[in-house]
Amino acid sequence: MDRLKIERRGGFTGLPARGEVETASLSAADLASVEALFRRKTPPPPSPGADRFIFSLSRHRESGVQTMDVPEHLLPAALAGAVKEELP
Amino acid sequence: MTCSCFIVPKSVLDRFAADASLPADSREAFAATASLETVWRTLRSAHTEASQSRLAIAPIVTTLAAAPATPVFDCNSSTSLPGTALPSTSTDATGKRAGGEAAAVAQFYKDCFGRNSVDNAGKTLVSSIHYGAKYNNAFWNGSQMAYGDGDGNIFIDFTLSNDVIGHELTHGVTQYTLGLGYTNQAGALNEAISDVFGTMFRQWQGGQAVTAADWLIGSGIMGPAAKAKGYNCLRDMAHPDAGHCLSAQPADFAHYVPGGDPHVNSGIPNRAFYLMAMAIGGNSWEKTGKVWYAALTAGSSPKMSFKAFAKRTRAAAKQLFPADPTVLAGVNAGWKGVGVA
Repeated sequence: MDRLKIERRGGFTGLPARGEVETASLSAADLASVEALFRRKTPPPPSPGADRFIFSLSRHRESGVQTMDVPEHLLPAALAGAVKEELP
Repeated sequence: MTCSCFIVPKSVLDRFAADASLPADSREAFAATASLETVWRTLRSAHTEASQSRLAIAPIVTTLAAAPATPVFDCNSSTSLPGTALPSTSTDATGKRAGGEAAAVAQFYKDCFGRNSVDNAGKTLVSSIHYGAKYNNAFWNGSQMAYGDGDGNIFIDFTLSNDVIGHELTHGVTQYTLGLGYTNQAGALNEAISDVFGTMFRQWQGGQAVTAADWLIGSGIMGPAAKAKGYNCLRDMAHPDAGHCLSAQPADFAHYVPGGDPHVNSGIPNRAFYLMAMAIGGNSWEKTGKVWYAALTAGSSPKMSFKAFAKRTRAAAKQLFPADPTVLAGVNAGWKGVGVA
């Protein structure tokens, strides 16, 4: 079973957040979106403007780990909502 | 705007668009979607380029709108912008605050710096509230502001700090003037300018001299869990590395973080402004603020370094206040205090 680790940075607060999701728990549409992201040859550009979130998305599989930066407008809501801030 | 259509790689869309086995209308749809990929990729730079191109004709169009309109839209916990227009009869406290404070920021820029909205041409200032579900953020998307309600635990309604609203609108001003990028020193400067004018707006609205101000950023949006742990702000321009800051920052250039987030390294120019304002005294918007505004509006420079911006502020201090040497001395002291000589 694949596992997705999500780390969020940026935003007005600058407070990082982290979370994990099992791919088995994703809807078919969200899973397809994730697979399409990892098929990209170049990383997607950041969201326009300022104070936007950026997510570092890591896919952990038996064959290894793939990581890429994903702007918030491209990340499925189920993944963006899986992260939680931890107070230092 | 939903963007899931852009997740499919352009090469795949192009292949489908050229696939003769597919119906013509499907191929047209794939071709249209593929074209949007390029549009989205260039949108960020296009925002800046379009904004910058306005500079040349700004003197002609500033008379078109005396003051910007400040409509508010309700996202109703979705992430679609701008959302549904909030009627003027709405009793939504967040909506009233977002619209009222946006108008107040516009008045601040007009009264203190003679600027007409973010583009100096009366651009309508659109605010969207209740963005996302328990969304712990506020942002400027290149065209408008968006505010989350917070999770109610670490953060509460992001419209509750007037410096946050000043901060986001100032990203618009920066976009139409200096045109700073969002990485390295330019990115940190971009964030610092928003904190500087955001806190200056807060002081102006409260009628506070520099010695009476608290210099805190985001003090009004701290939720109960953050307060319980002793955090009373996100950032403190006077003491960026203090323990009461939820997002503590480096206080001088010796602690600059290479490749760091703009919100990290902005602590350095933030504190430089604080040191200048305290050395110059009075109200921040009257002298120190005018020096920074002159530096901000002296021409586009997307990759500007701290040192280059400091040079602009020195030139502005000399030009604007030739008979008041305390201003240039204060500017020099501020940059020296954070190790930017």
